[in-house]
Amino acid sequence: MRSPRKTLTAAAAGCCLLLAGCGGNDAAETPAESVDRSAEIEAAMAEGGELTLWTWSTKFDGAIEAFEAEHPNIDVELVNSGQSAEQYTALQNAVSAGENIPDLAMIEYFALPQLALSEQLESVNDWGLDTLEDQFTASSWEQMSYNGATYGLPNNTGPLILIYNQEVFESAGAEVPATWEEFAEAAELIKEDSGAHITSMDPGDAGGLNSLIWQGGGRPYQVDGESVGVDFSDESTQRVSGYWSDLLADDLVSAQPGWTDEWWRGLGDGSLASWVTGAWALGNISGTLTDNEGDFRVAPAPVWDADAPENAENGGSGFSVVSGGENTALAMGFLEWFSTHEASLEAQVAGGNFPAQTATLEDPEYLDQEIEYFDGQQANQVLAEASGLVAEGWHYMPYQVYANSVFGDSVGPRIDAPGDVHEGLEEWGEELRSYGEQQGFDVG
Amino acid sequence: MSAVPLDTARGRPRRRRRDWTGLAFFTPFLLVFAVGVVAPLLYASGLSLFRDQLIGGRSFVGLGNYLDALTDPRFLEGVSRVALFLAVQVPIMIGLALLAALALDSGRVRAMKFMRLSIFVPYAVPSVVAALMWGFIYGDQFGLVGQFNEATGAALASPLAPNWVLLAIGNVVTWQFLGYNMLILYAALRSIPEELYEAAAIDGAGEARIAWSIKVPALKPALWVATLFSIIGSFQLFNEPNVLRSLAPASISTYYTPNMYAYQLAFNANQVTYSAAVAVLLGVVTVVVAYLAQWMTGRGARR
Repeated sequence: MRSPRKTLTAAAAGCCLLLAGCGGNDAAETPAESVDRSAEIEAAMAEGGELTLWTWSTKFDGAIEAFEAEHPNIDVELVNSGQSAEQYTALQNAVSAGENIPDLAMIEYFALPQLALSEQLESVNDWGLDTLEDQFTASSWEQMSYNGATYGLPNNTGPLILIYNQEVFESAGAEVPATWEEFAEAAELIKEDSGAHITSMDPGDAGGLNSLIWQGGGRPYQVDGESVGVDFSDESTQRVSGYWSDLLADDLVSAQPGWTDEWWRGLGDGSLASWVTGAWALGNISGTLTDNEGDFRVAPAPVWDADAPENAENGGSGFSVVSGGENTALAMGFLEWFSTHEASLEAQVAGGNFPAQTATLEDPEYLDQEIEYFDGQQANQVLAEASGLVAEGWHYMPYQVYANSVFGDSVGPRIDAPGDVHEGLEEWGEELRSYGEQQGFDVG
Repeated sequence: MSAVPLDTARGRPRRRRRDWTGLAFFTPFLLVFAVGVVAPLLYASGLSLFRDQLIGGRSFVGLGNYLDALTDPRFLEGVSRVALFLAVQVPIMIGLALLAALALDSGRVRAMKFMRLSIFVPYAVPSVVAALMWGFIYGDQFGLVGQFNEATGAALASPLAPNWVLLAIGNVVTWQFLGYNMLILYAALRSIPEELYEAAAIDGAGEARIAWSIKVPALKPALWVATLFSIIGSFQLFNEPNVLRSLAPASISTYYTPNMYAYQLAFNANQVTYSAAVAVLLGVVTVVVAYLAQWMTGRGARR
């Protein structure tokens, strides 16, 4: 089981290195060479001006304040242009209309290839910021890159973790599961003890299942220039889909959509015993389930092989300079400060952000912080550890925004009914291949 | 001799008045109509002749999008779903609205103004809010359905399950638009001359007979207007399923109704042009169905 998975990962990583080296050979090729334009950026920063930044997150107000305090001649306006897909549509409209283009925008990793392909984002290689690569985690940098160039700087990541209800687990006599096998055992104990589901699987959330497939060693999406491949048939992906199909069929896992009122209440009253999610979720749960202070703990997400643990990421995003903005040099200057300056990072972490910057992830002060909501647990250590285990070689499709939007059409009913999740994945793959062909990709 | 110049002198200003004054009154409407209705229609129709691709950009395909849409199982599924919705929900809603209007008009309802207002109030609730609210009620864990199951030990299926969700949407729409339709019918009832009732009473007709033989026939034009609005509304179904989708992603697909499909194509699938073709086709289907309905009622009226 282990060796084929490793070969696959290595092959994928090799392919990616190759790409980074030659930069692809398509018409939309971007030179990956680094161009030092620091003098230009410095001049723009000295002159000052106004910047518009699109994000729907509220975690960055503090960092912006810190920036403006240090650069009184630069005004940064935060604009909420809708969440996720909504913002990307607005961005596309603005760029194609050539009006009201923001200078910068927060871009989730899964959407980056699509936006980079349609030339909506500026490559940081053109401005010399690619030299900052070693300040970020390897996987986050990989995810901000497409076809050999990097389109912005990483900001936050979502290594998989398990947020669990301490009391529900204890009352059932269930250990905190280190592997997926133990997770299934715990699910049975909990079901027997209180009738609760150990967790729920969202029939509409492609990101969740994607990260579980990634963690299980599957690499279903392959991208090389204008050719794409979608293949869910490999053994690792089937192991993941089969595992969750079984848990759903035995009613050990519920099929509730996430983020709804019902779902939050379920987490709050213990009828959902845990949440497999990205590290960013700590802020969300402590901010929403305020009555449950002290009930939850954070653990690394269960892995397939305890001897060679591999993790994956759920979500995460970076910030990019948008093409066609009025002051690209100034935007690049802001991006660098915002993404790497100590004062900015401190403010972001205080705002509940889980950083992609290695400096913070290795900072003892950050790691040793005792988080009250989790009963004083030093949860950041768990998160940093989870971040370090993230396996490389994962790529999103250049039309992942579309792919995720139709997940509920094909895989959703198989999670909900419940049926064979793998069958749903095959149908989804079929749809993604035909969409790719229709959009002019070379589908392998 | 003298009559000729007089005639032309009289004729000219009259014609000029007819030409320019009319146009002056008409122009504001014409402008708004051209900018607000004709231009978007032309723009959408023009767009629908092109095809967008992530690789390759925009290209002219003539009627290709229309041919695709006519054989697109998703579009057809959506159209047949709203047609089913129309066939079931609209008669129920109009029937209930008629009953409510007749009841109010009979003058035998206590607290008439309060009743009238409370039936109408749901129409004042924005449809997104209404769908959210019903979403909470439908919840089978913590919602009203869940609480009912817990209290009575019953096992009501979730209204958001795939087999029930269309009914659940129909319920929301009926709740919302019952009062609106009732008001159209009630207003028409109020305009029936009193003499007709008096004559009927002298002839010995009871309330039921008056309702059936005077009120309902007199309501025909109003019923037609209410039905027409409901037909258009059914084909345009969007807000309710779109909001409930976040609660039931496995029950409501991205192409659940034609409008949802058009939205999905334009905003998630990078196919604005195909979306325009779907929207134009949907408009044509709606006009045809509305016309058919009018033709059928017209034929009924002639008999």
